[in-house]
Amino acid sequence: MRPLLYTSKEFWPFMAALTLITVVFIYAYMVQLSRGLGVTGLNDIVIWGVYIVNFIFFIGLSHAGIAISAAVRIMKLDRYAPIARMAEVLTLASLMMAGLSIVIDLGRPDRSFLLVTKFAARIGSSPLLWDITAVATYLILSTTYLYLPMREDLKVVRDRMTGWKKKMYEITLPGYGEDEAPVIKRLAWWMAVTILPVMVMVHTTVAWIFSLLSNRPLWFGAAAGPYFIAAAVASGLASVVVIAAVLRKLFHWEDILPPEIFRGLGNVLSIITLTYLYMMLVEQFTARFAGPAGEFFVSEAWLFGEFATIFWSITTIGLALPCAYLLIQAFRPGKINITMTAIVSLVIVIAMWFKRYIIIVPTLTVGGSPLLAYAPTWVEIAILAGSFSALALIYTTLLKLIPIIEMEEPHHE
Amino acid sequence: MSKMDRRDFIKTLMALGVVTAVGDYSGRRIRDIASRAVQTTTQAQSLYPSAVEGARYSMMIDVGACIGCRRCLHACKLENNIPDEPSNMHWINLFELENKRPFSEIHGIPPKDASVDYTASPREGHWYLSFNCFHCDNPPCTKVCPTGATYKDEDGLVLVNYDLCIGCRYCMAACPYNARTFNWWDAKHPPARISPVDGSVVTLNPKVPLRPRGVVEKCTFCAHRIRDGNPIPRCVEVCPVNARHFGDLNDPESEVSRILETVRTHRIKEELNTVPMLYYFTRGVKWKEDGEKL
Amino acid sequence: MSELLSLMVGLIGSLVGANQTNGMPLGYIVLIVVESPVVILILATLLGKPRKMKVTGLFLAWLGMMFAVFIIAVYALSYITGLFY
Repeated sequence: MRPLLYTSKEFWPFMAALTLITVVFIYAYMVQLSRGLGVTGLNDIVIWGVYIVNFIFFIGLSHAGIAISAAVRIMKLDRYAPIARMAEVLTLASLMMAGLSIVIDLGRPDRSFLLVTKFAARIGSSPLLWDITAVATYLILSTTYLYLPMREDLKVVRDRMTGWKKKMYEITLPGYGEDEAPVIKRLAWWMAVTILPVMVMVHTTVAWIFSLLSNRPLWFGAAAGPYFIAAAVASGLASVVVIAAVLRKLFHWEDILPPEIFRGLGNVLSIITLTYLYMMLVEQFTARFAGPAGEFFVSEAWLFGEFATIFWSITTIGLALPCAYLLIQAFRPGKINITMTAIVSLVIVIAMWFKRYIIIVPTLTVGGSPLLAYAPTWVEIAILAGSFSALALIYTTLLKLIPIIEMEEPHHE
Repeated sequence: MSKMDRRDFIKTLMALGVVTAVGDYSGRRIRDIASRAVQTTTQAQSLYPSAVEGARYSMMIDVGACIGCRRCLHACKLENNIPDEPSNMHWINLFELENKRPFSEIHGIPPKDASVDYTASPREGHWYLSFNCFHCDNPPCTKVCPTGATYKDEDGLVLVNYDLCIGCRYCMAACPYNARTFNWWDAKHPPARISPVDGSVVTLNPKVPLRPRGVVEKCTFCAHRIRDGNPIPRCVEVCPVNARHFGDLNDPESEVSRILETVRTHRIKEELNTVPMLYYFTRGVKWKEDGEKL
Repeated sequence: MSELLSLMVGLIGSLVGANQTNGMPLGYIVLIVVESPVVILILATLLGKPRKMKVTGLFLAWLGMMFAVFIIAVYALSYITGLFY
């Protein structure tokens, strides 16, 4: 509960820096709103770029929350209970940024309400609407899943607070009864069980936005669902590792977050990353052995062409090396280096952003038409940076308002 | 009534007042937004004339005759108020390809060695490929539109309702032919077309609506012409070598039906099951020496 | 005989799975797949034991509120960005 009670002196400059970046982000978006999407590097051939990469990336990050929470609740892996809520808050914040990223990509965001009014007519047909349905369902269920078990902890916070802060927490607890705990526990179990298939469908529908278009080489294909989900779980878990390591250092939670948690997370992360590398291998074989022209040329561009630097950096430094490190760590008993684990996880997160970029852009240029190329402009970079700073702002604000670690007993801090 | 009760009473009254005011204001704003939404949908009907019943329009292009002059491209721009600034948009695309490149070898449009920047045509040893929206019978673009802004009408035309388009560009991702173009900017009209009276734009063709920034647009087979008495789109009208042909496939006497019967035609990327309505064929002969039209 | 067989296969096909060629939009299948866990969740909340009226009510109210917040957010974003058009 320490973040709710104490604010260190580093907090305010940190928040100020984040706010500054977010302000630049808002300014960049206002420029785009007034002049049009032409301020980006997009064109009639490369119709999607950084914004869509952001969208996929943030949805990927959001998969950590329920994966860890479900593991705790369904498989009774209580060891990971302390990081469950950290992950759920990340889910909430990143889903909000994902939704914002999509709106930023629209040419006429002032007509977004049409997505609601035309929903019934178009849901049968448009994969974009399927994705919005799944993401909205996931978001609503995740907030519920975050809130209901948190009531018990909020009560403890409320009891500890005084004055207007006490009133604030009182508002968050309508109808609190001492005996609601077992009921909420049962509800939470059911929520964990039902959110899991929704989570799978979320990233499947995101993958379907691309993989149902038969004209796009290396987009079209049946394996896109598992491919995207593996990437999502990898990037999500890696972000949770980073956040947990940072918070552990900041608030001296060494005993609440023992190294075993990081070892366990690192183990799962290594397996998921290995699975993802395997899927990349299979994908390249399919494209290269006797692949149709489109697939082959895009694969050429990835491996040996204009995208080779990014691709090989992602594959070797971004994924293979971290995977190897985590695997070695998994098999070596004894103390683990949490800092290294966190750094390695951060590398995986960054690599995953660039991997999404590699998925989106080459298919449109090399696989679509070589006429026009793509280079992000300052607007897109500002919005990219701003999305991350906004995410951090939301996360830090929530960190200060709600207990980020589940409390075991009511009298335990 | 004690002091406490009176104070609470006044506080409650004030709260009620605030809530009512906020509620009234927001109710009215919501009604405005909702009515604008309704307006948006009903306005849509007036963008194009209504569909011709029972028609199934198709265009056929003779790639052997085409000399790559781009007259169709520019006539289309004038006919449909397509802006030149700040980005030069066009609904028709022209590519110059070497003779030895067979037609079927186009996997991506255009192939890597196609040229769009040629300045003089026709060049010895080259042929010219022109395409615009194929108005497919099984269009992948209309399936993916989340608002239903792009749709296939009863006479076979695939059209865009510019009032419903939210600019997500999913239809552009779905089109295998890169036939659609996006309004990345507001159109900048030449000063000559800005009315000195009220600053509004005097369009070259009042029958075609101007598009705002942020929406997708594409060839409409000149819906405003063919549904309104004029039998052919503008590009077909202006082609100097009569390489473009247009008509109703449901009419056995139409030019396109007769071409289908007599000449071997070809469509691009048929394996994608889009069933395009733009066919290509070649009678193999270009503009004759004596200037006679073929 | 072979016609009968193909007819049978067609009937079973339309019972087992609906798809584009049958006329039922694929999106309805997605809707069912995505929302059936939610339906199961709501049923489990309403029917399972132990249950309390208060918690069930709170749960459903929170779900409803979050849904309303989502819709309002879409309209709010439309309104705010609309100021630039």
